[in-house]
Amino acid sequence: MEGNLSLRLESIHKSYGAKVAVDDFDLAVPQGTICGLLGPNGAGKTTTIRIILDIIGADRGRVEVLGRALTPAARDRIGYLPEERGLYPKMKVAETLVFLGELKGTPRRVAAQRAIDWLERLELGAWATKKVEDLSRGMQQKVQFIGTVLHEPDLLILDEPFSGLDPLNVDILKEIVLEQKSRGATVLFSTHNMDQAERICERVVMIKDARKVLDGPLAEIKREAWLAGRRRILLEIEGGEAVLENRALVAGTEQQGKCVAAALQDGATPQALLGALVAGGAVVHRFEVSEPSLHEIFVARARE
Amino acid sequence: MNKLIAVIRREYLARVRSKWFIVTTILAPVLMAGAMGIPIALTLQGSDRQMLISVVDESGALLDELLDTEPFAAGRLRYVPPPQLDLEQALVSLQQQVLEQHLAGFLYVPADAFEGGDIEYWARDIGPTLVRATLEPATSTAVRRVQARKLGIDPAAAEWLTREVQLAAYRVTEDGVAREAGQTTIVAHILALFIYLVVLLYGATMLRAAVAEKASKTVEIILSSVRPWQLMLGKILGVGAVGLTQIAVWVSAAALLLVYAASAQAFAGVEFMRNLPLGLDTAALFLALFLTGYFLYGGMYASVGAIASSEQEASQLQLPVTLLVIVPVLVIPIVLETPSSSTAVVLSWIPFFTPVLFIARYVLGAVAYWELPLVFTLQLLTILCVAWLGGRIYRVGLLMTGKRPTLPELLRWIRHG
Repeated sequence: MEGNLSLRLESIHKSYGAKVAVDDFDLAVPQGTICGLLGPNGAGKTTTIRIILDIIGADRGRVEVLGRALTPAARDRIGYLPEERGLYPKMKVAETLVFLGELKGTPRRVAAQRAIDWLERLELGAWATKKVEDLSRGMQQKVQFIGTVLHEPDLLILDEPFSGLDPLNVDILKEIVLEQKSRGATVLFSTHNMDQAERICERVVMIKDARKVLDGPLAEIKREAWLAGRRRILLEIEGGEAVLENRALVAGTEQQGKCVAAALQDGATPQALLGALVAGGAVVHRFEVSEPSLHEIFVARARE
Repeated sequence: MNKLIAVIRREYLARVRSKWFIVTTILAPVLMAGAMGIPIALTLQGSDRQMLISVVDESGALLDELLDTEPFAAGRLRYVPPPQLDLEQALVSLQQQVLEQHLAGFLYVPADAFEGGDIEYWARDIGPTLVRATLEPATSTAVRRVQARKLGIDPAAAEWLTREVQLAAYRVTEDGVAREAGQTTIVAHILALFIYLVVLLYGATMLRAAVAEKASKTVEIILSSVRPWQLMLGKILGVGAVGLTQIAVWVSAAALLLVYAASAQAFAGVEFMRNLPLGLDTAALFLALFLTGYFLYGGMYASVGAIASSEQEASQLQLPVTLLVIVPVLVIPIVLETPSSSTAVVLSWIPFFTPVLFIARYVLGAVAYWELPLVFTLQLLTILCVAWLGGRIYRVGLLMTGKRPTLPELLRWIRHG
């Protein structure tokens, strides 16, 4: 494995009565990566996260956080944004943040200073002494996000962090996530929004029916899926129709707007097709090796 | 440790800053004073007012003697002659006057009143103060005098012969101090009710506090940082500190009032207050019992709060616990009457009843010193049991939302929690 592991799960198993929530789950997340935890609703993502945070205990298996067994001290190095958001409605914004910081072992004065800095940065400075309940939902979500990173955690666990936010705020928070990564933090990012995962994650892990079905660097997963599935080239060309009829190169075509999607024949390479098009005198405006989107991989895997 | 302090501080500040705190701090003494003062004030006022009483005397012998008795002579009761009609009509007319509130009531003395016939009193309000404390003794005296005359005895001698004896009661305690009984009983009752009140008050507060995480959906974020037991303990200590603060406010206010009263002799009750059997030992025991009672019931209310997912649901679920708090208040007359009886002793040892009943027995001087370690050991053991059970329920309950658990499920939580 490359570098240090920030998070390591070994044969984690958890069941509620007859229902298996997490089945023999292994996970290794290298330090400084953003790892997507994907899966349909009810696949076991939240249970896995709760086990990592020791909110619930696994029936068996081992959790290692930041190279250590899961001790309270190790837990303090984790920042957690649960899917179900909530802050004490009657508490003031800055006090809420100081409280959340204190719960992670940050001294009061340090937490207070950082809270002010963060609120200023996210343009919530004027709200510091207002009650949480006076804030809009989006603002509350930003406050909660600050609470997650206030103690400068080494491992961030974000459960659907961007749901319910407008695009502007999504960008702001995404920027912070990337900033945390460059600070050296590792991020475990649970979502079923594949577009977001595709844009932000370097690695993805996919759970389905309590089991892991996919795990690895995103680029590798995509390449494998491309090799395994229908390999397609998106074309915008003038002429060259004869080349597309060549069954040694192209298995079939499909009109997609002004593009043509050409499925490569087994054994044919994109280079061979491009060479044949150029040799056939076609004018090539666009030639795109179309990787399957994470969404397609996800849907295909989820249906299996 | 710092986390526990953070939880306590948050809980404490959240409560103390709320309107609820300010309102109850001011309102509770007002209500207490009202609950005790209004009946007294009404009685006093009632005794000042002159009441109009009519008498239909068929025996023809009682009326004169009756008007000679103390309440009529002193003017607290005033005689209104009945209408000069035949009996039936007179009674109907008098009833009408009572209904129209021209009369407080009337006595009907039958012709055979001295041969065992019942003398009747007709009125809208048949309050014990008027009937038992005023009319009944007056009528008895009058009857006795008439009968004495018939027997040829001097009425004064008859009264001397039939004097009602009132016992001056002295309580013998281990301190050897004899105290006036009525006062002590009142104080015992008030302190017991006060413990009941504060345990109920802060128990309910604890209930709301325990639901707060679920209601505001902060459970997960909190539990990712602190242990359930830390959260529960922090809440119980935080709310308990609120309780102590509030009691401190009340006690200082009461103390100021007493000092003022004692120095200015502002009201007649000063002597009464001075003689109260309230020593430091009683205060210490009161505080200790408040604390054990609060921890005991606070733990139970916290578990109930953890089962519920909203404040509304919690207030439905709290009923069994609240009933347990109420029971000692229902049996307190037994303890006040016979604090040394085995019933009272055993009842006051039952841990759930101890806070309310034991303080009453102590004030009444009916506690043997060896009972103190026994009772407090029982209190602590029960608190530990409640904490252990409650902790398990709390831990599982915190993450459960939606469906309320059934009893078998609850037992499973306790087993596997």
